[in-house]
Amino acid sequence: MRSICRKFLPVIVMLTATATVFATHPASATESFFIGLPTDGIAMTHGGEVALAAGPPGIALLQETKIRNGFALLAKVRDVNDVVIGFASELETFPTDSDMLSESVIWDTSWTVMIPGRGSIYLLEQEQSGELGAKVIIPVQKTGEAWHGDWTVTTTVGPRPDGYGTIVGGSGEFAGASGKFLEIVTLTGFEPAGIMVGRVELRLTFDQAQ
Amino acid sequence: MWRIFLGFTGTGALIALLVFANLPGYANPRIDTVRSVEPDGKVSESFFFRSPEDGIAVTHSGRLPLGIAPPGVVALSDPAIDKGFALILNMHDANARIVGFAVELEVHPEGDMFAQDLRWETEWVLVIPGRGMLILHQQEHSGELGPKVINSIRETRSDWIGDWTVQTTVGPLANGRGVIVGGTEEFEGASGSFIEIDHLTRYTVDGVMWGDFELRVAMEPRK
Repeated sequence: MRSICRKFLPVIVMLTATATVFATHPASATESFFIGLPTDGIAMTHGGEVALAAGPPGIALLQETKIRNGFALLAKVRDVNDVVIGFASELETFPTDSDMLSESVIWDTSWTVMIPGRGSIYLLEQEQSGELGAKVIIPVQKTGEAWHGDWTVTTTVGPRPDGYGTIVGGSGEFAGASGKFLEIVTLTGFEPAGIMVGRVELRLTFDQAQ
Repeated sequence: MWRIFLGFTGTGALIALLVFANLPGYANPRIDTVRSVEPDGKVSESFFFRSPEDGIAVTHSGRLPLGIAPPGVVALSDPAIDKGFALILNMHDANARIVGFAVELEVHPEGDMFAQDLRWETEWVLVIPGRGMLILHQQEHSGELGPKVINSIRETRSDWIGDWTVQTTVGPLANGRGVIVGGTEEFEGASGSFIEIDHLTRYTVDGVMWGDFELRVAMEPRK
């Protein structure tokens, strides 16, 4: 019985997650997109001072003075059934003269999600580092040992007054889209090499059915 | 004597400049003002990048005649995304100073874009630290890229070398221009149009594109 439970646990967890998504979001107005960490990463770069590993090894860093606080990610995008349905970019600029690990810093993020056959969606948000440094990264840096846990956090804090990010628009099926969204990160591990393990959810709430 | 020496040196330098200015790849195509404000309040500004120097990462399914780089970048080989294309790159101002970085994301249609003139959707997001983010949407077309460049590489199995400037933008606006979707900070609520202008000078057999590229943006006055 125990072995059966262990075997099917991932399936049960996935079905539970699926049910949660559908239960909390009416299908006509909301949709979630998922990115597995690090499995869905295509390429990632930054100025070289971020606690995350740039990849693949050898990728050019954003080391020029003007872009040193930048961050860029390309990743595959999955639907709620864990099927790859698209790809996306995440671009960020961090504030200068701030320590994201020891302070709770807010910065601007742009997401562009491309879903072939459906269209593209542009998202803008403000994110906050919150407890990421204190809870996960600093302990790993101090001990040199990986962090394992199960921590889910909404990184979005704006720019809307209700703390949501903004759906700016889109093309194809998403042309004229408006609404709000949240980026929800579930971390299950962080390796000393700067590799995050977990999942990112972009939970979109459209103003009207698309 | 020194006057004669200076005269010959100066003349030589001028001749060299003229010769280089007319060689493919050396002529500077950035002849337009980079940022200007029209009397009606419309702001025109151009952002530039050079290939391959400014490329940070590029990926697609592996079926395009363009390299995937750097080594280790994941190809878009899953069935749902095998028509996709993604590029991360540095962005310059007209004085060749790096002022930001950007991504270009595309989804290509079915068919051979080098045998036919095909259209596809392209998204640009520019990050200009200190100024904000700018989101652009356009339709591009393959146009003469196949007949003029790619097909000759396939036939001769040698690099294409030339000097070809082309506007790749064909929409979605009725006048053939792309649209400014919006942005943050200085670009928050921005509207207007833009075009992408590609200046190719070389295309190698192993899929490396050489040239200068311009995003020429025209922002409408704020209301």
